Amino acid sequence: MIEFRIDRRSGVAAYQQLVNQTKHALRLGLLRPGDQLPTVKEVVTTTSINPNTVLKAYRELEREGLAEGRRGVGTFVSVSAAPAQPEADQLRAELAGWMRRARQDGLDREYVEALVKAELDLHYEGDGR
Amino acid sequence: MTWVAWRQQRLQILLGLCVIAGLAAVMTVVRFDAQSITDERLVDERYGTYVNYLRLVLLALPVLLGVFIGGPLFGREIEHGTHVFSLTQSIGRTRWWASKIVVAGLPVIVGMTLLGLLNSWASAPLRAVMFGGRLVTPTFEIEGLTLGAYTALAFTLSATIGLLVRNTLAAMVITVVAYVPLIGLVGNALRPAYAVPVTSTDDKMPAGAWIVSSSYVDAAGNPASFSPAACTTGIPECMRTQGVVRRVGFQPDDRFWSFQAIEAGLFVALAALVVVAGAWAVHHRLRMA
Amino acid sequence: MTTIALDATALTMRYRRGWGLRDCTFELPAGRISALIGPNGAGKSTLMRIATGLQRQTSGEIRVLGQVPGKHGANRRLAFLGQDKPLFKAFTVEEMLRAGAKLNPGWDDQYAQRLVREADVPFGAKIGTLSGGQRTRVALAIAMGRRPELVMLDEPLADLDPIARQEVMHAVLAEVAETGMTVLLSSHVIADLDGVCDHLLLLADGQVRLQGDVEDLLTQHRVLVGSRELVLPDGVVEARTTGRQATVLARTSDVPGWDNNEPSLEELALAYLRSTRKVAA
Repeated sequence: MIEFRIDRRSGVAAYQQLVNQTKHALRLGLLRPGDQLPTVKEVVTTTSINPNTVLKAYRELEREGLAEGRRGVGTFVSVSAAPAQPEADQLRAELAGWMRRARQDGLDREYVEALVKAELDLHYEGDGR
Repeated sequence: MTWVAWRQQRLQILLGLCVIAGLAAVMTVVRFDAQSITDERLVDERYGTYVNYLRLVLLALPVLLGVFIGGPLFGREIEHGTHVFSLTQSIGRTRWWASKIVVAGLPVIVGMTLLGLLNSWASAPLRAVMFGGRLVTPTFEIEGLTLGAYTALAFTLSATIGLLVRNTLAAMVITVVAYVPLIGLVGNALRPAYAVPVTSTDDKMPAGAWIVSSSYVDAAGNPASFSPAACTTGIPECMRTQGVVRRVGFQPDDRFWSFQAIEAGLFVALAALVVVAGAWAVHHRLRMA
Repeated sequence: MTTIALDATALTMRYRRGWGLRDCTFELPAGRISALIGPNGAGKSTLMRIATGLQRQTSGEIRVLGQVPGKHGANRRLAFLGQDKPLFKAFTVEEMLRAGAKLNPGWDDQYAQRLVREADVPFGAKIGTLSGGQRTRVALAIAMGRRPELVMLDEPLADLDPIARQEVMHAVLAEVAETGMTVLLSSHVIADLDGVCDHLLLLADGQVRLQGDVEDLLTQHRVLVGSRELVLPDGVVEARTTGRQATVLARTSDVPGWDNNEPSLEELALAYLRSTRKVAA
């Protein structure tokens, strides 16, 4: 189970933040297929947001095939939700190695962040956020 | 709603009933004691003061109980804003208002009626030491059915005024200010006319008669003028020489219960009018919450 | 179930000293949490009192869950929590719940008791001894015990400390999540409502200034920042200038030449409230 956090000043819609955090948790392996997502009641009492917002986020996750609602029980991570792809571990390891080198070469954090962002913008252009 | 009204008002209701019960107990004890005394002077000695105090207490009690239970009934609820709670529950306005009136008012009105009836019975042995008959103020006001009827009016009046002016203290004060002159007015202007007085030129009155008028007439029965100040002899002698007799109108003692019924009926009718006004007010005036 | 929980047409309340509500026409959708925003004296409480039947409007019409209020007592499917959370001070919490049960057919006692237990309020305590937060929770439990379809909360968070504010808000949200009921929530602290409400009704001087779905309203407005020389778009709500810069809140889509930002709920509401104040002044 994960706990959501809403940043009201981020400018990102609350439901989108919930979707993003769920995807993020899936990517990091904090959520696995079959895991239950927090109930609407749990989310609203930890984040003070409108229950309809939570429902909207869960519907979005269902639409993307990442979650499925079971009537009267709750919302669960789909069995079909792609777990961390086999290559993902490999890629992450490579990225970690790259970061180590960057640090050894004395690149500071801001510079690395700018680099990563620039590459992201280049390669993921048109994909939205 | 009955339980809620009872829970809200129980302190006042119980306090009122305690006062009534206490007085009833004292009256009963006094009656049996006074009955056992055969010497009239001894009764006066022992109970003369008691009779005076009892009259004071019983004269004041209907209006006091009425305003202390009726004044806060709606006045305090509105002052505290709790009528907003009551009126937004599922029960309707009319039921809320009616339940409160009945639950708070009925016990004390019934209690005061019983106390008045008890007093008629308990005062019998003390009659000899009382001034005037049963029809005369203040005895008429504190025996029989009137106590309950006065309480009914004072209670409904203060409850309804509380609803209108939304303030307990104001409701109490306005009720007292209206009630006291009303009792005086009824006793002096209306009560003597509840029935056509019996007239008599006999100097001797039947026991307990209440003299309501007195005038001088000549032998033919026409009104005559007579001035005792102009007499040089004793007044009875003077009247005889001028051919004038005194004619009195009086209400005999046996009209006590019919007079009680008339006066109680009058006050109950007034109370009913006030209740109707309250029913109107709860729908039309209690909108500006 | 209807899709409109409450609708008003030309609703007007005239007091001896001016207007309480003036020609208000609006709808509140069912199953949503609607915010009723406005400065003190804007007519928020008047609106709620008319809807609950406590007060009768001067003219215009209002229907709550399809019924005209006050015709047959308070609507059984509507619960109202007044601003001062009026409860009988001399009653214990338990007695207050009993009063709720006696005054409401269809009362759900287990549910009301559970809400009081969740609030950690002792059942034997006198209402008069409770803290503001506890009292609000008890009042809320009694409002919820009726199992309403629509609940109106008039400034439920006023006079509460920050923790109590959060707890009360969580209690409300949890029950909405569980029951799907419609809520109308008034406040003059807009930050309290951000993220919580998904529908907005903004009142000022007794008139409706803005209403609609919060998300729609936010996407329909822009905070524009740019040079004061730039041409203003249509639909300007409020424009301020500082030096050479202009900051404009307008009902518009992106305007070229300006720096376009979506406003926050607070920015949006404040702009509308300030603009009405300027007109009045």
